[in-house]
Formats: sequence, structure tokens, C-alpha cells
Amino acid sequence: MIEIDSIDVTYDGNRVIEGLSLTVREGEFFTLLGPSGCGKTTLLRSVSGFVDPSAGTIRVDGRDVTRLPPEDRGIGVVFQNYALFPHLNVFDNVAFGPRTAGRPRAEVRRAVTEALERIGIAEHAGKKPAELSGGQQQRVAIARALILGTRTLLFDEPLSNLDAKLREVMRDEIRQIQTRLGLTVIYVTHDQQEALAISDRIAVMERGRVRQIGSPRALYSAPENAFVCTFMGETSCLPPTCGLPGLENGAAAYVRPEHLTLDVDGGPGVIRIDAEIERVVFQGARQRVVCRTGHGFVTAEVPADAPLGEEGAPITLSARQSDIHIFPASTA
Amino acid sequence: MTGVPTASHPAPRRFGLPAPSRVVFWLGIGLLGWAIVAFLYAPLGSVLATAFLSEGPAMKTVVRLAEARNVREALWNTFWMAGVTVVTVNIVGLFQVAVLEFIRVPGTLALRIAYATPLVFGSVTAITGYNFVYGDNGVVTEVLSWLLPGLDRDWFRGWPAVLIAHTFLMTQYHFLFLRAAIRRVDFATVEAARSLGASPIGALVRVVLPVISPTIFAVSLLVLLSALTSLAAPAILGGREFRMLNQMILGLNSIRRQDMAAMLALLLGVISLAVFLALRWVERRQRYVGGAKTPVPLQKITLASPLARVGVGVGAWALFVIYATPVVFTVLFSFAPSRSIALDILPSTLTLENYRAVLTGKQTLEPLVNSALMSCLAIAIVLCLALFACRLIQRSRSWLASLVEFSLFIPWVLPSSLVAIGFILAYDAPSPLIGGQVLLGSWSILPVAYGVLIVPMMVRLIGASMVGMDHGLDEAAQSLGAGPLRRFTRITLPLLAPMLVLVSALAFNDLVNEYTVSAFLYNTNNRPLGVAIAGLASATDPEAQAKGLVYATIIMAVSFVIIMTAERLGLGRAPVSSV
Repeated sequence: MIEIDSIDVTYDGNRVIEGLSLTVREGEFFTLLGPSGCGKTTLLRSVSGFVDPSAGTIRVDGRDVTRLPPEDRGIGVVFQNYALFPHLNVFDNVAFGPRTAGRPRAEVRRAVTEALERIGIAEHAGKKPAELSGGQQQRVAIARALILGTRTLLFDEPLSNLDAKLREVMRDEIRQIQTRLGLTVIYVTHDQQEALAISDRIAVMERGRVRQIGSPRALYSAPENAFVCTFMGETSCLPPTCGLPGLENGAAAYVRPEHLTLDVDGGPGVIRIDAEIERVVFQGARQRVVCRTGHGFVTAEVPADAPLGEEGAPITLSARQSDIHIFPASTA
Repeated sequence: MTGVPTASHPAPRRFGLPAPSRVVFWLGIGLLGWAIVAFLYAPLGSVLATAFLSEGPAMKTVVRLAEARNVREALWNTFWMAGVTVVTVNIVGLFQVAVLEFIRVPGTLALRIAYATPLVFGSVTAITGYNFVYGDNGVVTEVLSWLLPGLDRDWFRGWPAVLIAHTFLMTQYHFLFLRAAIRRVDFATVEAARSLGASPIGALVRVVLPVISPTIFAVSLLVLLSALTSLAAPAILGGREFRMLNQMILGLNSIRRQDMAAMLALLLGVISLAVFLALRWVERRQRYVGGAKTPVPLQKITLASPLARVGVGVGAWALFVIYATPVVFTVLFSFAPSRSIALDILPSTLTLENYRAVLTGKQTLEPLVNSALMSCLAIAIVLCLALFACRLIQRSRSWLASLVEFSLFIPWVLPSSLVAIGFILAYDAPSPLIGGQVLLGSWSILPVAYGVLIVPMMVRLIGASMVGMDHGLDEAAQSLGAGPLRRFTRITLPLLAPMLVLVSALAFNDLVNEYTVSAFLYNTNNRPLGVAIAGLASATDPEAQAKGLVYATIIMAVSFVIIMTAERLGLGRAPVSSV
């Protein structure tokens, strides 16, 4: 369990993180998600010990680690690009931690061999990192981080430099290892698809603050503010003239493309929007229709065989009120 | 990593260092501080004090210097020689670069090897080699006087000889930096110029040259600096009638007029500083940056006119002969019997006798051993200090780190003769800074001064490779429980090792070729190779000449191996001093 209690982090007089508190439960896969510069990496580095918070406390399994240097925290870290030592082979990379701790030679050999076997790279023990594939490197990095027996593992955007296909495979592998070993994980990413796919819970961050914490489903379907709503998945802002109650005081209404349909029937709880087709983007099974309203554009996603007019033709879209997220102006 | 400030500047931690690391840290700070004060600031301070305070008012020294005709002459010689050298070196250097990179000429590989020889055949070694083939008994003079019976056999003497040596030996900067610059030119711009009606040479002059003009200017400043501080060339080739500033400083020092020597050395220092600042200004000024995402590499063009083609080809191969001759004959005659050196144009037989004589004779072996030993010692000490200093500079943003960084780069701006005069003035009497010892006349004065010469180069290269190192590796080791000392010895040091070996080798190459500081500071206990070679340069005795040729060949072989390794690892650079 990781408890972060009202920490502040300041760089050169700028407060990067302000009074931030959150708790990561035992055995949970917890993701910090947010745009560049939101403070998610800084928060992770505060937990690993590479950044020194100016106020607040961090507890790991009940132990206050706030003032401990990274080498004394006993937290595993998997770095961006993995940070495998290029001059050491796989075995020596994994053995670095136990050797530093002064464990007996025989014990180191046994523990490393076991760890390598467990993650399925025992046959590569003699290779240098440069000779490994991206997937193998990730396994070595995880094995190296876990060998000292930690139950807490931090990931700093480990997949950010991989191509799309490999990302998915590696993502699933990280999740499998976490579940199998029952690890408590904090995972940093700016990719919301990745966060949705891998996490038990996600904290969406913006400018050094947490905007919402919740399960992937909750964040997607019940965002608490406009930032979370627009950051998680695609949304269109509805025109204030759409007849929705509550939009008078500068509040904004958002709807996701899959919830905007071609007008088939009206009925109670459904609003209608009159617009003009700007362009149609064919995507295979679906097509996206970008429509011009009097106040900007909205995007709808409809089946590929739905009948559509020419560009410039009028179109009426509808959405259920229950699918529309309305936020007062102050939360944007 | 997305947290803005975290990527490049991890916040300094407040936690104290563990005990063993703390001891090492403060020991390092102490040693580094002492070395900087004792061997950088104290000599510099002594020069200033002597120049301005010792013999009454400074004006008096200046007036006395201005009244001395030979000083005035040396100043004038130095300035015009440096200026003319910049012009002639640019003519030869630009032609070389054009031939190697832009115009199709047969035999580029051979030409490139010949034009690269100043990298391994430099300083006093090359001057000796030039003297050997172009001097009054030299093979070239032999051939020339057969062609032109009325030729004065002593034609290679005085300012023409110095200018010739400068012109061909200082093209190394063009070879290294200008070629690199021209390779970055987007060839599509040349093709665009051709499609708009420009001839190949027109495109070179109007499109390529303007793009690389900042590099040409920078390279010209480096040549200017080398020419201003030239010592071996005028000392060996200049004869009585042509003397330059560094020789005056050396001469004044030997007749114990240190106030005057210091004043002249300072003058040279101020000029060097101005040139150095101009260099920095060129570096910082905005460069032409091509907008192309995928620049087309430069392709060689064929000259249309047959006359131009022949002219360029003849010029290129004439340069080949000029560059190759001294090297080939130096190496060849180092294997010749000594009577053959005096008599033959080509050696009659080849023998290892000269090498045996040099390597087994106690007196002849001594300079080799001295140079190797003193260079290695200087390198070992500077390596330790530079590693510590670089880590300090990289990790800490305190004023102390900035001061250390600034101090260690000072020798870059100082002419070697100023460093040498500083050492003489600061340590010609017992000094409390070095435990009441006298450094002048002792064996250790040269290794210490050598250390000062190589400090900026080593700090810069080691610092650059430390900055280039993945910071994540250090953090990964830290997260695995490793303290500062263990991280340094197990991660940083092994990763830097290839670089450290190479930097040491480059420094070694500079130091075994070193002449200026050696000439000022050597004594009977520590006569180095450069001084020994210069001593043998004007010998008429074939036995002595043979020894000089053996020394030169050995130095060349060592330099060749070092430079080739550096080139392969992408660290090609010019030595500290050229002539």
C-alpha cells in the first residue's frame, strides 16, 4: 500500500505538485494519467525518491519513506527505455541489486537464475542488453526491479518508445506479471488507451493536481469535470442552442461520437441537433460524420451503411440526455 | 518522462552523502582546489605581478621592450607571418577540401591519406622532417639543384621556410572541421543552383561557400592562433634573420629578463584571448540551417573543361607530393645506414641498426622514456581530477562547481609559453604552496605543466561523454540500493572506460609531440622527446640525424595508431598545438 499525503514539490520556485494526496491499495494496478507537464512523472519520482518533496509524507506499507534516499527505499522501478546497464549482461544486470546488498555469491546465483527462469529469459543470461528484443529487455528490467523482494513496482512510461503492436503485447505482459505476483503498481503514462486497458484505477492529473480518481469505466462514463471528460476519449461540445436545460449559465455539454446518432425518432429524454455535413470519414465498419452547427463542429460515429447526404447537406443528429455530460463553467 | 524539469535537471537532494563517499568527496575537493590554486592561479598571478610590479612601473618595461629593435622585429614578424599564414593555409586547405569532397579527381583515397599526414606528422617532428628533405643536404634540394644548377643549397631557410612549413602543416583544421561542414551541405541546393544556370564551380562559390563560411572563419581563427604561437618552425627553420614572438620570450627568459618575457607572454595571452572570444562569438552566431528534412548528401561533380580538369588534378597531386615526401623520406631513411643518409638520394640498403642504437643506448633512450613517463604521469593525475571535477560540474549547480569549471578551462586560452613563464616565475624559489619545494629545475615541473596543458581537453571530452550518458542508468542503480561510490565505480566508470582510454591516448599524442612548454621547462633530468628532436634537427652528423629520424618515425607510428582509433570511434580532432 502506498499512501501519499498532501505533498508539495517545488522546482526553482515553481510549485509543480500542490497538496496532492492519494492512496494506492495493496495489490492494485494504479495509473497516473495526464498530459505532458501535468506532474505525473514528478509524483512517481517522489515515490521512488529521486525528487524531494518540500512538504507532505509518503508511506509505503506503513513505513515513512519521505526522507529516505532512493537506495534505501526498497521500491522497484522500471525506467523509461528500461535503463539496463549496457556493459553488463542479463545475469549481471539482474544480480546488481543483490550484489550491492552484499548477499553471498551462491545465494545471488540461485536467486538470479530463479528470477530469469520465472520470467522465461534464462537462455539469454549471457547476452548484453543490446542483443535482446524490446520484449526481452522489458522482462529483464522487471526481473531486476523485483529481485530484491519488493512488492511495490513503479513504471515510468515503459512503453512510450515502442511501436503500436509491441506496445499492446508488452502492456498485457506487464499486467499478467502484476496479477500473478500480486504486486502493488504505480504506472505513469500519457496514453489514455493504455491506461484504460491496463489499470484497476486511474488518477487523471492536470497541472500538479488530481482531477479524478476512479476505475477506467467510471472515468469514461461518469467524468466529474470537463477536463477528464475531454481528456478520456473523444468528445464534442454541444451548442448551447440544442435545447438542453441547464446550459444558460455558461455551462458546457459534452457528448461522445458513439452516443450521437442519426435522427431516427425523437421521444422523451432525447435532444435533437440540426447541423450540416462538413465531411465524412470512412473507417471500415464505421464512418465518422463531422457536422457544422451554428457554434462549431460535432462529430458522430455511425454504421458504415447509414444513408448520408452530400457534403453541405442538412442533417439532424440526436442524443439521449443520459449520455450527455454537463459541467458548470467553473469546473472546465 | 514528462514532468518538465525532471528530465534534464533532477532536483538536488537534501540527504547527506554516506560516510565513505563524504570522505572521498571532501578529499577530492581539497586536492582539486589545491591543484587549481597552485598550478593555474599562482603561475598566472606571478606573470601578472612580474610584468607589472617587479621592475618598477610597468610602463618602463613596455618602453624598454619597445626600444629593443629585435623585439619590434619579432612582433612585426609574428603578426605578418600569422596573417599571411591564414591566407596561404586557407588557399591550400580550401583546395584540399574541394578536391576531397566536391570535385571528382582520380585517386581520392591516396590524396586523403596524404592530406591527413599533418594529423600524425606535426609539431617539432614535422619541422625536423621538412628540414631533412628540403634543407641544404635534403633530397629535394639535391633534386632541385640538379634541375636548377644555380640554386642556393640553403634556400629552405628564413621566413620562406617558416611560411612553407606553416602553410602545409596547419591544414589539419580544414581537413577535420571544414570537411565535416561541407558534408552537411544539402546537395539539393547545389542542384537548384545548377538548374538556375550556375556552373559547378559557380555553385561551389555561390552556394556552398556561403553556407560553410562560419566554419571557414572559425578554422581561420584556429590557424591564426597556431601561427601566432608558433615556436618550432621559426626556431628550427627561421635562422638568425627571422624570429617570432615565442622565440623572443624564450630568449628573454634565458637571459633572466623575466619581467620582459612575462610582458610579452601576456601580450600573446591577450591576443589569444581575443581570438578565443571571437571563436566563441562565431560559434554562437546563428548558422545557416537547411530546411530540408532529408538533405541530399553532397555528390562530386565532374569539371566540364578538360583544361580545368587537368589543372585541378595536377594541383591535387602536386600537394600529394609535397605532403608525402617528408613523411616517406623520414621513415625510409630511419632504416638507412648512417653513411647512406649523408650521401644517397634513396637508401642503398635497409637496416634496423638505427633503431637498435636508439633503443639500447642509455642516452638516446632517455628522451623516449622521459616523454612517455612524464606524459603518462600527467595523464593519470589529470584523469582522476577531471573525472571528479566533471562529476561535480555535472551534478551540482553551485557557484563552487561553476568556479571549478571556469578555472579548468583557463589553460585553453593561455599560450603554452605563458603557462611555462608562469611556472618559472612562481616556482623558481621555495614556495609554501608546494610544501616549500622548488619546482624549477626539478624532474616534476614538466609533468605538472603537461597536466595543465591537457586539462581543458580532458575535462571537455570527459564532461561531454558524462552528459551524454543515460541518466536513467544511475537512477536504476540507485533504486537497486547502490550508494554514490558504488554507482560511480560500477556504472559510470565502466561505461566511460572506452572514452577514458581514448582521451588519454589523444592527450598522450599531444604530449609526446609537445615542444613549447618542454623547451622552456626541461632540464638535464627530464629532457623530453620534442627537445631532443629539435636538438638533432640541425645536426650535420649523419649518426645524429639517424637518431632524429628514428624518434620522428616512432612518434609518427604512435600518433597514427592513436588518431586512427579516435577517427574510428568518431572522435577525430586536432592536436593541441600544431607547429
